[in-house]
Amino acid sequence: MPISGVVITGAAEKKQGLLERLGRLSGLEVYGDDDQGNIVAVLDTASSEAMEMLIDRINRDKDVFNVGVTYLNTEDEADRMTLETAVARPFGFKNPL
Amino acid sequence: MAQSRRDFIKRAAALSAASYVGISLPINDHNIAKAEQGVSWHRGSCRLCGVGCRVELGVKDGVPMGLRGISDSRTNFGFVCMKGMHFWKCMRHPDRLTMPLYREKKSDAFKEISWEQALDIAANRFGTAFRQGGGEAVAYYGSGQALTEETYLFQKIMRGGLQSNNVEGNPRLCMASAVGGYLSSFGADEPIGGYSDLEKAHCFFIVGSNTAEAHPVLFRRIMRRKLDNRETVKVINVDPRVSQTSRIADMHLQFKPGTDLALLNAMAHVIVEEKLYDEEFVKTYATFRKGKNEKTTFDDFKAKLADYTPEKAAKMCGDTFSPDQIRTAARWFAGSKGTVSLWTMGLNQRKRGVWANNLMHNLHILTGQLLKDGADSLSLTGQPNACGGVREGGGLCHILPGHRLVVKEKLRRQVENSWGVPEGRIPAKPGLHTMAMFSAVNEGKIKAIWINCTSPVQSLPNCNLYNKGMERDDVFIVCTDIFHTLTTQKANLVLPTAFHFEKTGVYGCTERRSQLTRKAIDPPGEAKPEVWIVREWASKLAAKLGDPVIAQCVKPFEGLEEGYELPKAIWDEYTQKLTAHRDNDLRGATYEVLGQMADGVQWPAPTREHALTGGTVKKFVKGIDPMADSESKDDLPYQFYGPAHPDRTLWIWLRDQADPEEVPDAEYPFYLSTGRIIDHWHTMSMTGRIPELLRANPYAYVEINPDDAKKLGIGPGDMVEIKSRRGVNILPAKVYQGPVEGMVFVYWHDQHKDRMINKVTKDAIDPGSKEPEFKICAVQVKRVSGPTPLKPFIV
Amino acid sequence: MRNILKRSVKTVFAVVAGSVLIITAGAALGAADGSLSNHPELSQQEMLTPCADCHREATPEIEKQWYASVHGIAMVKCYQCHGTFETFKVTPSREDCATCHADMLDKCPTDKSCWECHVPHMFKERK
Repeated sequence: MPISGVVITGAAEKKQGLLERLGRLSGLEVYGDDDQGNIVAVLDTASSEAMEMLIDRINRDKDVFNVGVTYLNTEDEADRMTLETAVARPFGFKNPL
Repeated sequence: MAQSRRDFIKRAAALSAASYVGISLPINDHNIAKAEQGVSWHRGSCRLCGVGCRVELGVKDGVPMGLRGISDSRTNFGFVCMKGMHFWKCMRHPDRLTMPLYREKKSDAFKEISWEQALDIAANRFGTAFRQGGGEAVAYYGSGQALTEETYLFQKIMRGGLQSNNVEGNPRLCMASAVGGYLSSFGADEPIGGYSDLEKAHCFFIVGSNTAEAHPVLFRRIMRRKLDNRETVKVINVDPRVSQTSRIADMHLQFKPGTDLALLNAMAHVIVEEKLYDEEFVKTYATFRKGKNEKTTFDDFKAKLADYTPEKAAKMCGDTFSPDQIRTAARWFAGSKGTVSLWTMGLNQRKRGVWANNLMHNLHILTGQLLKDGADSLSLTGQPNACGGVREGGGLCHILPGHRLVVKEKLRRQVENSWGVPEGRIPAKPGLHTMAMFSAVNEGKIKAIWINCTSPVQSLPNCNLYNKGMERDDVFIVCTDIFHTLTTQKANLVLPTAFHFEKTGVYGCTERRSQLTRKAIDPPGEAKPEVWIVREWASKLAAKLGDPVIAQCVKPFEGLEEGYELPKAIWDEYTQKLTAHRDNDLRGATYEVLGQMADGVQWPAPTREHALTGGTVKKFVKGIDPMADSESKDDLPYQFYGPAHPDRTLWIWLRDQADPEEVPDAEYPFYLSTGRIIDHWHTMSMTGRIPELLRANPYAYVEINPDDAKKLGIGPGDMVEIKSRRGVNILPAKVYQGPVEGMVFVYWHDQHKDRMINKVTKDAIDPGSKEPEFKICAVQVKRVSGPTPLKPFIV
Repeated sequence: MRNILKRSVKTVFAVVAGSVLIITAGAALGAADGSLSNHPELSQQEMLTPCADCHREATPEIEKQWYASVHGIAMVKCYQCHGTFETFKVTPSREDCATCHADMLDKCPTDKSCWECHVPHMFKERK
């Protein structure tokens, strides 16, 4: 059940319409916005795959320039992932182990 | 629960995104973190060394869960060292003492008893000892790790109550020579400047100090200064042992142990010969001395230095460096825009420790490397409250609170009147200094001794000798501590105390800075703050001896809540009544003010307004030090108003090289020196119980120079016997290009009977400061076997 | 105010510009990131050896980088960032850095892990 914090950057003059469309997406909650067209939102999805799909979906909106993830918490998945998957490039090593 | 956790994460996610684009959301991250995670952060000082790092202890559900440096603090700027970042982990260790323990005879097993019983026993035994032998039959042996409120209250009861000046503490073992040096050279104890000079210095002269391991966070500041100004800032390291500290040095002068006085005189020689001294400064502010009442002249001084030409001194120091290196060091020292000297036990723990301190100060007075930005003669203190509690609070046998000498009648009267006890109550004669105190224990002259927060069984030099006395059944020993130590093993009564952050009080660090640590969590079990223990004990003692004067000593503190109100009342009495108009005037540094400061207050701080600026960065300088203005006698910018120099000048001393008490001979051919390591603190009762720290250095080893090891057939890890005329150790060898040839080095933290190096060290003392010469003695070194598996040992 | 996160909270920071997520988990229990599985087995006695003693030979490049770094000079040893055998982790968390560098966590970008800008073991800044 990952949760992420994102900054969605869109065209400032079209922000109102964008906010309405975003409001209809499930798993997305808008927390704030500014005059430059930045929108702060939190994404809450069932899996990392769903998270990526949701970000992709937002990115495809005609008025969105960029979706920036600033924070991602995957604590439920993390245990599973660390047990099964080696970290691609561990701290301090130039090449994978 | 799950819902609230997800809400917390969501809000954290939103805040993270918002901070990225500078949108402020109508939720406060501070409150969220507190509300959702239940973690509160409590400001205080680090528990361990004398640097005085400020930290925040994270507490959740009454349990400590983390520690961070405070970046606003002027001591550490947020940094903490290896020990500092881990010390809190011992707070909830299962070995914590939680109930008073008692045994009538030292061969009996301890039994748990109630506080009521424990305090009755302590009062009875001290009362009986007092009735039989007066104030000379009782003693208090305290610690540079006790809070100022604790040391102050203990000594008040001992002096005002039991009419005994037998008040001592482990700072006698580490900084008494520094006190002697400051008093005899500058007329006032404690440094003139402080850490703020480190960032402004252009030359560092580090002698007899492994700053990198013993004061790591200050070392970081020095390192930063050097690495940021590689070409312009010089670092000179002077030590018989190459240590971690030497890594940033431009020059390392490695000398034969005990010849540092010759080296310092030789530097003075160069400074005088090459006219590198500040003639105007010397003429205006300094005088020359042979003895306390024996003035002399610059010409005499110059003549004396003729014995210490760089050529002669280099030879005396063991021909390990060239005369020209001494010249270069002297030129760097004198010629830099600001020179800071730093030293610790290397100069202090010597038979002529005071002289070594004087010769260090000489160089600063001669060159005027004092009283200005980036220049200071800065003695580093080992313990967090040796300065604040013991030096300032009256924790040694010859001093009363507020830098007052016991022998001065006028000063005794001031203290007696402040306490409301009859004049003449405090004996005119100083009590027994540490080594005399434990000799008196050996002889059975002291019948009851209270040992607080320290472990002399391990930390006294030649400890085998003094441990015999502590084993006597006619010497009643009370220990107050948080864990068992080797010393509680010789006690009759062991009282469990609250640890740092489990009680409230002030620590005063190296640079005259007092800092408050407030209670953040409850102590475990029935452990109690020392101030409560002393108050309750004194009340019982007053009843037992039928002495209303003892009751008078604790009357102002009756009934006060012990976590905050009680220490606050003690601090108020001490600062408002006993530091007023003294050179360590702390009247402005109330709990209210200290509580507001990220770091603390440097004295003199006579007023609240001055204290709120952080206090006095440089003593004696008009416009910076309010007492330099209020005590001013003329138009000069510097005013030396310290209590020990009525002539208000700085004294340049004529002191000769003096050999250590014991030097190697045919039978004991090696020098032994001892010291510290970054991962451990003193006798390891705390750091030995923290897995990370124990692992890093689980047992002591002996460092041997590779050339010596080759001659003796010793390989890395081999077991080696180190034997002196007093005792023997068997430790693994570390063959290492550290100690100078002919010297071995052992660190003193290990509690194991085979690796406790103070069995081997010598108990010769400086005749002035009474500080023992831990740093030098003569030993035999012999390979015993190949590497053997060892186990760490903690009582 | 500082970002207050308990060490065991597994938090992941991703790159803003793209949607490639680097996932690493803070280890709550011994070697939870599986990193010690490659380590030669040690006896209790051998576990009382400072890491750097062996790693001087086992991973000389890393040991050298650390030794010459400000952490090496200031004696910030392996165990502070990587833990000991029970708590070992290859990748330290931001919270480990926060013990000393809490103010930098406030100043530095929150979307990057510390070692993306500060080269691990060398701690040189901003290449």
